[in-house]
Amino acid sequence: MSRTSDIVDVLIIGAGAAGAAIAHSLVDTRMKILCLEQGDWVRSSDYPTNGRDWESRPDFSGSPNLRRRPADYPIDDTASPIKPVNFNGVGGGTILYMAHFPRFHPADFRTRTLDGVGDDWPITYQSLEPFFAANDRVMGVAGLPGDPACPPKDGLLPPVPLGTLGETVARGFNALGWHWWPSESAIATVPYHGRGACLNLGPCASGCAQGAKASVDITYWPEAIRRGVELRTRCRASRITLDEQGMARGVLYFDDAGVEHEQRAHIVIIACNGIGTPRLLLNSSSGRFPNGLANSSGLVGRNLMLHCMTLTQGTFAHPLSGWQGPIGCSLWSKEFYETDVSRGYARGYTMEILRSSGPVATAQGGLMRGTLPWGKGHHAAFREMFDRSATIVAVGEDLPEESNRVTLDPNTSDSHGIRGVKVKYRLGENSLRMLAHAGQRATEVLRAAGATAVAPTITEGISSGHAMGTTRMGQDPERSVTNAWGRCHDVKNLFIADSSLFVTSGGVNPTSTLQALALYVADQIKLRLDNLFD
Amino acid sequence: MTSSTAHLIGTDRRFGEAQRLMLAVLAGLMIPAEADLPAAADDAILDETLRELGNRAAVVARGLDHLARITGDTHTAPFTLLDPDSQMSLISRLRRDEPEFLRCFETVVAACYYRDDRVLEALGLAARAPFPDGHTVAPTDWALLDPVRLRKPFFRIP
Repeated sequence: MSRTSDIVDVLIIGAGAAGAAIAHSLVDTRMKILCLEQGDWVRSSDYPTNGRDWESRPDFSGSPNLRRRPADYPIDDTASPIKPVNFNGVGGGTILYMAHFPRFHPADFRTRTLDGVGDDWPITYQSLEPFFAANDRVMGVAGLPGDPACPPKDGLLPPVPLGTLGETVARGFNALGWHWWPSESAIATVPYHGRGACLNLGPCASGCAQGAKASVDITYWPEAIRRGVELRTRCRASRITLDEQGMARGVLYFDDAGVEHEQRAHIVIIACNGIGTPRLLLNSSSGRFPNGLANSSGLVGRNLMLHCMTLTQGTFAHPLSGWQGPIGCSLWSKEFYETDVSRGYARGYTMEILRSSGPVATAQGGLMRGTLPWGKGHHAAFREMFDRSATIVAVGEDLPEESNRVTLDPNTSDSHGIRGVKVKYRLGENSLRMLAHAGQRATEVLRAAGATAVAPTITEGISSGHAMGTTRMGQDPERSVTNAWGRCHDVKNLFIADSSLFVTSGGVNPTSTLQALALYVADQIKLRLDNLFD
Repeated sequence: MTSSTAHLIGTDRRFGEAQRLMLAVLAGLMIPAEADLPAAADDAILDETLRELGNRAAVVARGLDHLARITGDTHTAPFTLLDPDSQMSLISRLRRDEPEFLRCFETVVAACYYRDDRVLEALGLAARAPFPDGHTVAPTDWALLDPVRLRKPFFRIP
């Protein structure tokens, strides 16, 4: 092992949504900042939409188990009905996310006080509000002001057009008198800070060749690097090291050639997402921390939240032009977001309307469901199916449960021999009641929109890139892993700055909130530089 | 089918001749030709299909072995020479016994078939990658939102 002689002021592990935001903010301090990223940059020319095989590129799958890039680590998800997805590279999950960009609602930070479930966060919506706004400015968010379901916000780019599919479903919501609004999307609908306007390529979830989608490799990172942050790719952290006083000394990592180094730092910040962060802490056990670093509470890896979700698909008699346009971003409904106990569950969900798939995915889906036959009827069935479906996904708030967790997997390891993880997750009773409600409501709205058939709602086997809660923040060291500004209770120069900090999951996609939180943690560090470790 | 097989023998060596013939018959059963649409057993489509299935050669070999075995249990002729009804009946059994093989086979055949230029053009779609030309989505008439705009804010502020 070689020891890197230079000690940096701040060492960030992970160059995804959170790592990029916190690096960008901390560069104001003129500290020497280094970020280690296990993956690489993605070139825009590599994205699937450049090629004719754009619908079938396993190297851009969200599942690391299918993708199997050298930077990936195995995730055993056999004990979870929700299948975690991620991307390991500069940009992290934002490379493959659909760019939905809702914020958590004010009530999401007070679920115990308001609804008697989950736990209150140690911070409020109001404390994050300036960081939501700052993040929106860097990412560029399209939407329409005036949504009565959400607090007001400024600076939105023009909304993503609904298209025939979106307008069709919107009429269904209007017929029922339910709320809907164009989705807020981290998509440049007009040229924005050097990014070209959206071309409606379609499959945002396999990356954006145009660069209209706000992945942090093209938003935060270029400016952070210009201002002095060093980003070292293909460098995989294996464990965090400690000094004699129990402070983080630095990180052991493998470089691209497989050579192990120790990088020392005054401040270490982990931003590896809700699965990668507990993995690194659990892999950093020592005599002082036999159950994983910063884990005196026993909560590292616990309270995993992935969102409970439903998928309900309706078939229409007319073409919807639905596979043209950002697949995830059309419109959403917050009709059932806030708690109404008469529904039989606490908390709520967002209904998000997805555009439809291209020809390959349509055929594959039909074959998998058994609705696209072999033989003579194949072509007629395909014509009835293609571009005639709309899907409603409900993103529901799953409550924190300690039994839902990430643990190290003794049976798997990554390409450097570092242990992989197992995910154990069960849908709780509240989630199951919420999902039943969401499936019924989605069916109703699709029928009101004119669907000629609605398939049974799917609740299991759905992928989620929303891993949250595995190193929750809080005031009480026995009930949380970090304090109210992301500093580990057990190790005073070790910070966490990603969705692992979440206390509850809200009923919305988490990227906007986790980035605002990373900026908040950065701000707290900047405010306390004189006594950061007290 | 003869021309397909002759083409394949020269271009793909990850599967034996008997395996290639069975895969060609299966592809033709799954998506037959119709009007201006080629079959999935068309030379060019099948060539790509076999190349991609080569990445899952072990799963494919296991599935085909099983298909040959269950054919031998009930018929004297090989699978490729049976009438279509008998073939489909055996495929139903194969689906129960070797779901991983059939899932893999269907996924790959669909991927190769529905990106073929002739198929896309017959369906009225442009045979091109999405980037850089993209697609046009008509602007939205936001008057559609008028009923929603009438609602008072309904999010909770603790």
